[in-house]
Amino acid sequence: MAGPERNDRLTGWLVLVGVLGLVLFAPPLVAAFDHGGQVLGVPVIWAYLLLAWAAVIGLIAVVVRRSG
Amino acid sequence: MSSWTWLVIGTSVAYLAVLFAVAFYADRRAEAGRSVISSGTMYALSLAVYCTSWTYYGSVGRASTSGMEFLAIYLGPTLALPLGWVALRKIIRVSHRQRITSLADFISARYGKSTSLGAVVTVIAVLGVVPYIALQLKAVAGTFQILWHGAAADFSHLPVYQDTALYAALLLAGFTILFGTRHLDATERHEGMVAAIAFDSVVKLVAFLAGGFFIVFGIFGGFSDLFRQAADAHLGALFTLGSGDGYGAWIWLVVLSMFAIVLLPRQWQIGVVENVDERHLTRAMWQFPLYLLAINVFVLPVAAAGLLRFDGTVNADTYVLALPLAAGQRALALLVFIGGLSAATGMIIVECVALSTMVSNSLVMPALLRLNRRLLPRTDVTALVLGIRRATIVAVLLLGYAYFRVAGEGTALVSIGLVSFAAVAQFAPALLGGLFWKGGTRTGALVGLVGGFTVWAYTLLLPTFADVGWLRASVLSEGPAGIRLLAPQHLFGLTGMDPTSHGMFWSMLVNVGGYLAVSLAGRRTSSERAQAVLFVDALADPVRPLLRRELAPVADLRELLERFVGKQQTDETLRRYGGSANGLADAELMHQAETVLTGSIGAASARLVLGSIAGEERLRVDEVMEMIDQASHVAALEERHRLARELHDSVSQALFSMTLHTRAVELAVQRDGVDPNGRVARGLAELRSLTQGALAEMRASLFQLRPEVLHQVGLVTALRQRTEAVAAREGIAVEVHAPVERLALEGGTEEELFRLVQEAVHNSVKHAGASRIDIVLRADGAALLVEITDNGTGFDPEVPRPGAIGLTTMRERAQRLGGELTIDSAPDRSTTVRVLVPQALNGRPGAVSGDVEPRSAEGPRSA
Repeated sequence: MAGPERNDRLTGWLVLVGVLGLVLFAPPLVAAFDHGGQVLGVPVIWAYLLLAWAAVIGLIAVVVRRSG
Repeated sequence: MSSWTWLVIGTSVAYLAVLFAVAFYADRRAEAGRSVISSGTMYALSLAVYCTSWTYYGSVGRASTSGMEFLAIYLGPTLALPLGWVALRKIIRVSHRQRITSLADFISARYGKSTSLGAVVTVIAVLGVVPYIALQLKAVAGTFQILWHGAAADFSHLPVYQDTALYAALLLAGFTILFGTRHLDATERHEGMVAAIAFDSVVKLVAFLAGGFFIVFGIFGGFSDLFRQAADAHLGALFTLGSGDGYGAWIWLVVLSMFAIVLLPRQWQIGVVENVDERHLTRAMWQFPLYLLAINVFVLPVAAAGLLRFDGTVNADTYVLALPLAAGQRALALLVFIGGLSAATGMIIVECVALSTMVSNSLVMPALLRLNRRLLPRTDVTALVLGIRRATIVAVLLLGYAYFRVAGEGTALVSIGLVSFAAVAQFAPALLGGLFWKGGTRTGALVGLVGGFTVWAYTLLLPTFADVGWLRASVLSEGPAGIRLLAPQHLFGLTGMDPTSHGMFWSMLVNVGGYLAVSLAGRRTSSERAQAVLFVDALADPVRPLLRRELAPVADLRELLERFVGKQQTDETLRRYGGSANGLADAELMHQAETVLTGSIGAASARLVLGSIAGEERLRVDEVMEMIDQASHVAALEERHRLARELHDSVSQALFSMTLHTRAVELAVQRDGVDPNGRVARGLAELRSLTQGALAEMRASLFQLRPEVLHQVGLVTALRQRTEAVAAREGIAVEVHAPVERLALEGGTEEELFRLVQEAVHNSVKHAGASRIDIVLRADGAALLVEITDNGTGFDPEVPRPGAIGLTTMRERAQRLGGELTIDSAPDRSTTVRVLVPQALNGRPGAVSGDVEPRSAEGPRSA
């Protein structure tokens, strides 16, 4: 069982990543990509959401793995 | 029917058989102690039961009209896991500790094991999830019809007996019963089911990806080609969030799905109940979102492809199946269909198992127990519980079918599912409040839930009936009876929001507001306080308080446990926690028994059942006194108050009448000229003195039970009354020397001092054989000195004496008061116990300190 201190630190990092996700998926940013355009032959909003999502998942994986 | 149709049916049945084989294999392995589901990855895969027909078919349909908006439903869970890590660990830890096996049980347990709260949660969960079940049936039936008759077939007005959805519902009911209710397990865990769900998750992912891959790269020339054609065809709406004016809907969808990932009954079942190791959560935290990402990559491309190919002639919900079929790829279509079937079956199995646990444990069993406690000894309870669960599964699926027939046929899959999401979100305030705030009360949770659910039903469920003509459409636009302010989708004239945002706004306002306001205005009972601590501080590993004070004979306990959880588990529990020598279960065993029973029949029922064998009527008063002496825990207070009230109302009153009557008889006898020294008169005098003694004894005992009586008369009076009783009983002299005016002691201090003196007196009588005891109370400024001196044989305070209760207890009491206890004694002379409390006299007389409430609701009464 992880020590309480390590759990507290992990909690902190996870909340940070979660909040980053909220920012990425909430209006000001999401609206900036929501103009119906395309980039490199694919819709901008589709590419943005999938990439930002993958980034958040990657960050969670890194945070979780670093804490053991 | 053609051979193709038979192939489809045969493959479907074969798939279900494989699923069952997987479950069977996993169950065998679990019994052999080699679990197949004990890994973070399996946990993540089983969590993917989140992806149902809604994801598999509905997302494409939603995307074809609202672009990327569908994705919010998957972003929410991604964020909910890291943000809610603390909450989830609390939930899992408390559930495993207290053997809580459903969401209803959890909320009921949090607010003092309330039966009514558990029942309300159950009803909301069942009614809320019915549309969601309907969605699955609609998808299975609809896609089957497409394979049978082709994509453009109209099958919306078939008679019931020809309706595939009905047969699908019945088949799945049987299948779920096989899966979930084969036997009764106290932990309510189903390893086989979890393995089958994980298998389901792999199948539906592979099938959807295969379908998507073929559509993008087989029918079209890759992503760029597909999207270029879509842009040329002016399908620009696909490339937005579909949020014409504002992002309210988008944000609500994210929030709703954050709640749904925990609060949907099936997610709770998989995420909490079936969780075998808290640490699996951290791995699932990124693997589960990765799964969601993978299954969503092709959704928008498939929607674009469907719009390009079919131009509106085919229901967009079924594009992923219809496109391969139209391209002549029958084998692939069959694979896609099986994937969709697995998405639907997984959801239905887990959802029904979770709901049936709730209905039997939180709704039906408590009701049966309340109606007839004597029903139980005569019934095979295990069979009864299993019967209730099987009936529930069939009933829920038939309800789902009914909803599908009435309201679901014309509606898109996602719109149906959202109604359910909004329903289970109503649990969020009571649950989150309960995890992080100790002040929430049972009534608050009840008001919030009922209020929020009512608003949900009015603003979100009712309109789905209006859409299909069960309700006049004018009710939506004009309001009921033309009252515009009450229009379900524009309550109190609120406009400019989509229906989901509107419904969530009002229901959450009522729910959160009701929960907070009623909680703040009300008082918490002792069991609510105790449970609040256990839940809110779950991660701090608190010392578990012993909640049960009533003890039962081990034999009774064994009989009871065997009836509910079977012989094997009963033997194990009794072996592990044993019983005490006198044949009574000790508090630890009672607690374990309650925990085990909770796992089998729910917290509220377990409490009722144990109460039936450990009722107070079985306890002798001296045992109660002994237990109460030990008890300083808050959970015992409530029980004490009740007992005190009953003793006061019955025994005290009777004794008082007896003294009056005896006196009256004495006077009457005197008037009749009977010899005042004769046997009759002396007998009467003796009787009167005995009765008065008993009354004094009783009054003194009531102080112990009801601290507020002590506060009412003050410490000195209470001590006088108590010692009078002791003096009369033991035939010794006890004197209390104290100031005339009332000592300004705080309530808690008064109680501790009363107990302390009482223990000292007890020791003097029992161990020192004293014939005279002097109790001196002396105030000096804020300090209070209490001395108890006896003339019995002393002892060496350095040598511990077994049998002398509570020297340690007395020291602890003194320490709690910030004072000091000294004992002046030696084997050849008398003993003096001296307690000096420096800061005793600074309270208001009788004021009750924060922690020793509650006082009884009707205020102090005379003893």
